Amino acid sequence: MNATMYELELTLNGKKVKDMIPSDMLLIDYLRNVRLLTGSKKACGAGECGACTVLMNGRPIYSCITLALQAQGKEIETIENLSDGDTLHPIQEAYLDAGAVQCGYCTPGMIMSTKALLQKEPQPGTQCIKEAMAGNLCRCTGYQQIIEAVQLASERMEQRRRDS
Amino acid sequence: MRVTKPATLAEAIRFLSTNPEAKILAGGTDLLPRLNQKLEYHDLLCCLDDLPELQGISLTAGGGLYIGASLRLWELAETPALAGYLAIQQAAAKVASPQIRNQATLGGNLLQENRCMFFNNQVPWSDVNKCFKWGGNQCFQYKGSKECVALFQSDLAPAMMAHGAQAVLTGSGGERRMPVAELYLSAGRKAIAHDEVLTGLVLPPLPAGSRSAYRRWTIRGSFDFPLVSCAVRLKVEAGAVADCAVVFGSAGIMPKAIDTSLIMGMAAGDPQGLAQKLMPLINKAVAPFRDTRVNAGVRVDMAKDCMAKALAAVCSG
Repeated sequence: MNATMYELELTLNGKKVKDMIPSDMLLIDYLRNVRLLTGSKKACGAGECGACTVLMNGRPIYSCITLALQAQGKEIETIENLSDGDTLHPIQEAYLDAGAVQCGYCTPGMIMSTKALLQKEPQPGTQCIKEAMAGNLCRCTGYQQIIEAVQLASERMEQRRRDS
Repeated sequence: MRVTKPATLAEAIRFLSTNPEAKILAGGTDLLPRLNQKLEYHDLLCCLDDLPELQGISLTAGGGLYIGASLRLWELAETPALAGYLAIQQAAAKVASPQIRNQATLGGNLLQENRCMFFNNQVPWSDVNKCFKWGGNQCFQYKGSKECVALFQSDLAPAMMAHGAQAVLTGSGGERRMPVAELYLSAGRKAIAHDEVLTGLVLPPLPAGSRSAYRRWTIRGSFDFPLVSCAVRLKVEAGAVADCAVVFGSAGIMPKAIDTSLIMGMAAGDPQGLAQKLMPLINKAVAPFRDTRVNAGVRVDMAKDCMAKALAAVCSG
């Protein structure tokens, strides 16, 4: 119980995985350095910027202030799970089409927060979008385009639901 | 650093009592940023956030509610079970950002470290000219202070206090209960033994005619610590104030309740009159030192404004 290593089992992007990791490893370091999923970014390390946002059991969390062992038995989803091969997810397409990606560093985190929002609230109003995205900062300050991207993604996903 | 993850509460308490250097980790959103910023170091952490004994909400025999300390803040903000305890839900919904609320626990919010504009902002000279938090003997926030006066900025603590919540602590010696207000000691210390775990909170039943509200001042509209905040609970009988609690958050090293006996029996339809009567008490309740971005006078004015707004909200029903 007092070991330096920990046997971690979780569902990562839909697949069950098992790894022996240092017990003090951060979730972001596990994702980037062990699983080589480098889409999520390690930036502030203090829960202030949101670049490391991933979904835990469907809800966005900061993976830089979460230990990997806190994900034991949980479902973690990262930006790598969104596209279907070379076909982008509608949220990713919307971010590109709305011009919401400038330097791109905040984008994976922004997109994961967007995914969680649209799952819960498929047609969010502007205020709802602002609240849901409040934990993600963009230092290129392209917030208006990001809000438009979320609206565009919402419209396109709604259209797809109607078509299918 | 080693981290252990006990499977049961009993195992956790045994571990804490045999490892005096172990530090408790729950959601991690308060502790891990300080570890990442090297403001703090621990050899051993004891991770409690998934302990089954710390989850869930249930009815107590007395008609109140028992809330597990590991409940995440988003659950606290959204659960219908707490609909009558509006100040608590409003406070939980305002903490930091969605990501923090998804991960942070109720217990962790109540036991978070006090924060200081010098220590937490890691000014370059802070580990050379050591303040109390670094083990030194001076305070930069309040020159001449004999102890650390860092602010306690929990949103939930004032709301829990306004609703008369009791903290349930479980340790090697068994279980004990105390009012949430008594958790907080001087210099940011908490009244919890090393081998004790805050396992839950007990809320008394809501008396008929009770309403509550929580208001706060922040620089940013969201994702911010309160500069100052106020939780109000009011019980109205035949149009008059029958019971009232007013508690200020970020008021100093601990939340501060003020004496509301002055307004007993006054008309509940006149929130401005109630606020006017209580205003003089605020000057003593809110500690007279500057915060990150506002001076002492402005903090007191903000506290008055928070109280007036919270009173207006509970009086309007």
